[in-house]
Amino acid sequence: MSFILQRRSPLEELVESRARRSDPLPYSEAIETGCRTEAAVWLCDVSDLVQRGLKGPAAADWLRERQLPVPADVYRCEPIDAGGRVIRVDRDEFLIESHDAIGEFAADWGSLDGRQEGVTRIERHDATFLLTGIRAANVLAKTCGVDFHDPRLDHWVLTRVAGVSVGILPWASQGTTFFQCSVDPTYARYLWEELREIVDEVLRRG
Amino acid sequence: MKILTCPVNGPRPLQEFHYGGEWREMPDPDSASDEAWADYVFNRRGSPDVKREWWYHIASGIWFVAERNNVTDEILRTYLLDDAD
Amino acid sequence: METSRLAPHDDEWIDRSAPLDFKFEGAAYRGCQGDVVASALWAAGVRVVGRSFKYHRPRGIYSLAGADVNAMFEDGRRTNLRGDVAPLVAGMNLRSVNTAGGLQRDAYRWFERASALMPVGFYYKAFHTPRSLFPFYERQMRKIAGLGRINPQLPAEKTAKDYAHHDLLVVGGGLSGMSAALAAAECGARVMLADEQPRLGGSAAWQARNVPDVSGWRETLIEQVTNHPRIEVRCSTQVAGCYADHWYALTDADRLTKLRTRGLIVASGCYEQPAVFHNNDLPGVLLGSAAQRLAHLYAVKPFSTCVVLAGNDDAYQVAIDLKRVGVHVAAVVDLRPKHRPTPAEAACDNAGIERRPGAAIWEAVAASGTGTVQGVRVAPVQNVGAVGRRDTTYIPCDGVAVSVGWMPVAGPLYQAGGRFTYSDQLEQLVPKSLPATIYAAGRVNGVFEFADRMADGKRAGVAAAVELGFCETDVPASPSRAATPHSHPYPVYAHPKKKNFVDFDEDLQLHDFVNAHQEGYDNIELLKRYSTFGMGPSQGKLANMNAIRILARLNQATINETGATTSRPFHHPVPLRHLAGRRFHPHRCTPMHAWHQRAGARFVHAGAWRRPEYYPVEGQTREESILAEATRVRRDVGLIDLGTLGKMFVEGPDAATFLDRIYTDRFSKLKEGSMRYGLACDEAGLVADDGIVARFGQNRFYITASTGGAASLFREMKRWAILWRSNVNLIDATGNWTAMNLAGPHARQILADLVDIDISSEALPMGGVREAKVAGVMAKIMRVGFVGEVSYELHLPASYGLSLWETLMDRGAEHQIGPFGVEAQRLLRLEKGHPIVSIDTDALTNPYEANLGWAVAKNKEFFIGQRSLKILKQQPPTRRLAGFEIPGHYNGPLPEECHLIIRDQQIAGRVTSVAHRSTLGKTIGLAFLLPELAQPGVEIAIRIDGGQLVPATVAELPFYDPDHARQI
Repeated sequence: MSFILQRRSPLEELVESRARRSDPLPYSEAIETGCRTEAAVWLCDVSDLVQRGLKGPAAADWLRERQLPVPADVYRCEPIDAGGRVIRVDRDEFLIESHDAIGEFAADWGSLDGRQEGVTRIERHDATFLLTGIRAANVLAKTCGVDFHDPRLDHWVLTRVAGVSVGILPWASQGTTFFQCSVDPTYARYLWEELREIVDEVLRRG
Repeated sequence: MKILTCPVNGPRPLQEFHYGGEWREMPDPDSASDEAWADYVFNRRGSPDVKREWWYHIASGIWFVAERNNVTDEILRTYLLDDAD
Repeated sequence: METSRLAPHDDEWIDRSAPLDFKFEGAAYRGCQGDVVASALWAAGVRVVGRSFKYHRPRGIYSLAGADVNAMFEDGRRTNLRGDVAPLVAGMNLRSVNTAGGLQRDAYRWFERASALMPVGFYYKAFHTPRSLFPFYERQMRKIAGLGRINPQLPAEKTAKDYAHHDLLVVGGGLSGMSAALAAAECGARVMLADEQPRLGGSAAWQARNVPDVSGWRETLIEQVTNHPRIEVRCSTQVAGCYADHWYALTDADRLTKLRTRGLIVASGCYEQPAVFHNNDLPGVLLGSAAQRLAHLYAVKPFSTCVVLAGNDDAYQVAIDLKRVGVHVAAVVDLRPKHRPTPAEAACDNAGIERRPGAAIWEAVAASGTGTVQGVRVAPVQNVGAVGRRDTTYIPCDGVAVSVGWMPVAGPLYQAGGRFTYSDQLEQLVPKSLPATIYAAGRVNGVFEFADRMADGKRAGVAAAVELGFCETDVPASPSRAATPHSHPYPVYAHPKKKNFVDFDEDLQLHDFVNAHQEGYDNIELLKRYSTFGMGPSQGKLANMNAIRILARLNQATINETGATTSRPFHHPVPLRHLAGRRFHPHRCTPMHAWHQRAGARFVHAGAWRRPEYYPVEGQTREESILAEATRVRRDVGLIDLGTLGKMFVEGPDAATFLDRIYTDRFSKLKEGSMRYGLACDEAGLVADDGIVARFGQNRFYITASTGGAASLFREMKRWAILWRSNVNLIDATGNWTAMNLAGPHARQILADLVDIDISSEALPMGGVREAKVAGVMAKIMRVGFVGEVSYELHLPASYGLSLWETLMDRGAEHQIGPFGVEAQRLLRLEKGHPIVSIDTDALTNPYEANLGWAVAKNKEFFIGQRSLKILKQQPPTRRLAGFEIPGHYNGPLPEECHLIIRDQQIAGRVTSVAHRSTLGKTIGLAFLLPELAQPGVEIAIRIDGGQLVPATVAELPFYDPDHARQI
């Protein structure tokens, strides 16, 4: 058995064939580009971001044992020193996002096979988009009933965008606010197409 | 559109929720008469009153209970069932 | 073309340096940037702009305030353009909406002469007999009814829609609204200020041109609100509806904004109201405010000679304004009895305008040919609503300015929960009670003096800011409401010729109300439905107040006793495209979607999903393509995308007992490493969903659910877990995991190379499940399948789905692998006799009827639906699902799904699934049948479209491989 399956973005076809502004970028490169962009709105697919879910009464301890941060409240997020972040998505559920630096925890997480007491791993394969620019909040205002004009940073919001469930995490880097939107991968094509159209509309008309 | 306050996610427009019907107590299936069981399964109560209703926040998958005055359409309080007692 | 533009002045809204050419009814005209269509037409001397709804009388402009339904045009794209408020755009090609063959030669203009045949409510009574003529009537009515023609060829356009969030909405950008917005913003509130006009200023822009100080106040306020960092000004924007929890629909030309606030201030002003006299609808009869708007905003001289009809002091300001722009004001005819001259009347005297107190317009007289006003006959008022007919005098004029009263623009306040009462002092409705965080200011609140309006706005703005917690200052006192009425209590006069219109939208006249009242419609809401007053496009903006006054008199009741009709959204007409917005149609695609697209799949909507229906082959029909896919599965091997299946993890100490309660069967005894069919019922014992339940560990289960039922099954499981206090982890993996089924005689060979475990039938028999690496990725391999061949269902994390699919297709090429879609799967399942929940079952199917009784455990403690099934089992069955086939010798048209089984001319069943062609070479299907028919060998008859009966024979299930030998 020589063949190994490849991880693929649900958007790979769309992004390759259509978007220049929205090329798929490795996460850290995307942030750099997003901070420098002069576009009023900038949308980028960063679905290469690796997400690892963790659930159960012992999940917080599992994180602590590996020197990973444990956000105190539901929907808060804390950065990982080596890069990435931990989001508390429920009382007993966490989401670890990592990009460049894959910490030692990755292998441990991979070995969680359901036989451990009080902690189970959850496969997360959400599509992730980054939205930034001075009119980024206008894009959300055309699709979502929650006000993001003065967002609470590092606080995850689970809401509906263009009719589908989306997690929106506003955070800032070098003075630039990013809206990181995660969506179920099976809705990714739909949401991407809608957001791209609306980004174009906002760039045209404000 | 009405605003409903999810105990976990805070105040959100109604479109973020799924209505789960009124709160009903299931009679003991072993001892209930056929009539009492049919009443539980099929009948709903619309009389003017404060209703306990199930609501579900779709994006986060959270069920909670809302107490609503169905005359004034005022929501008196919302809570997670675990926190009720 | 003669034009009546006035000399330029500072406050006009038009830009004379930007002329705009347009067409109306085929003729070319020129207006200016800043004109509305109506002002440009009026300036060009056009007096007849439309035909009335019922009698097709010629009509002109009337209010210039959005209520002119007879100035309604179509431009080929839009069907209901309101000429009195729609901005003029270069190149417009406008036609009047309610004509047959053009405005001048309207084929329906004879209707007026038949008006005696069309009394109020005639369409409720006529056209019933003879019955045979109804289709004729209907065709005629459809031709005549409706305003404007819809062009179905127009391309769809996506209209913008957005959400906005502010602390406070102020409706109306006049003196009071701007003062309110400013006061609240100064206290720290973020304010949305919306006005329907293209510029701020409200009535102060046209009503007070010759009143000292007002234009200075107006300009200062405009500058302040425009530059305030916490005020967002939206002009040309209508507050079309007010909904629960401070939720507002704001519309402009381009978009719908859904605004959420915490407070509301309504400073919407008033609509001026018509007087009811004979021929009060002739082109040239205008509201006084409309004449002022024409003159001041658009610099159009409204008339050459006019008579002003007065019911209040505002009329004298109109008269003076008109005289100043060069109109000869022949007289001010005042409905009120002679009294000591008010300052306004004295000013009129000083201006040399003749006043005729205690008089009314008995009738307006139409010029022959044009139908526009050429004079009025004035008569002394004898009593309320009655004039003397002896002492009439004729005054020639080409215009009448009517200024007899006002109605508050109360829609937003009513919708927000406010209540009004009639003030005898003002002869006007004023707010009586307003809910918390909702305020009224200015004329809508009965405050008329310009300085008072500003004070009232400030009072409301501060009060709202205090209530919302922005500041803790003292709220200024309310200014007093007007001391004298600005409205006449009954500006309505009967006339034997009866063309005295109350509702210009629906052509309702005074006697229509009298007749309706005599027929018993003496309640305002009933009268509205019967007569249809207030139900036309302007929604009673010019009709409701007079209708209430008329009914009150007929009932000899007060206005408050008479009441008002309910105001509902929308307060202004909203184009459907605004409501549709961008038209979001969320849909889900599996990770393999791109591959299916490349393969040319035809997609079908399945619940929220788009999934391949089949893969068309060139030169083959749909049916042939589907049959080829199914045949390939039977002969070689096929691969189907099952990413749409519901996929859930149920884990934790209570997982097994939890599933025992959810499903009809028992799973606590299920062996690790195996799976079984799971049937879920609702509390009524009816089939809700099905799937498989696989056990991977003592406390670890993985279940699948149907494509359409997964979301609700998961939701209900979460609720039951709370109610039962079950210690379970429920994880919906529908999107984050994906699945596919490799099925056919060669399936095992293809997969064996990719996995590191033994998948032989001994090691992994039918019903077995394993967790193992497939091409390096941890996956679940399940020996399940309803297609009737050796098959492996592979479940793995979504990101790897496409890669696995491509790998299997690649490795399977030498085995003639091909994809199969949902239709081929249906065919294969049908051949195996497996019913599909929600296709072969309906919302009232119980498990016994669907031959699923074997999946209901006998001696379980509890499961959802168990108690109801105990009752159902006692009752004799009313139907049963059975297979049928069409005899080989039959070669006529074939039945379709939902065709009925007929016995003795009675319905004896219904076809739920049918395949005209199957791999078995015959037409087979499933049908619900009366129990006595559901026996193999029974002959039945299926009635197809057209009534023909098709013979069929009930067959033993399954049709294919009854011993399941091929699945080992």
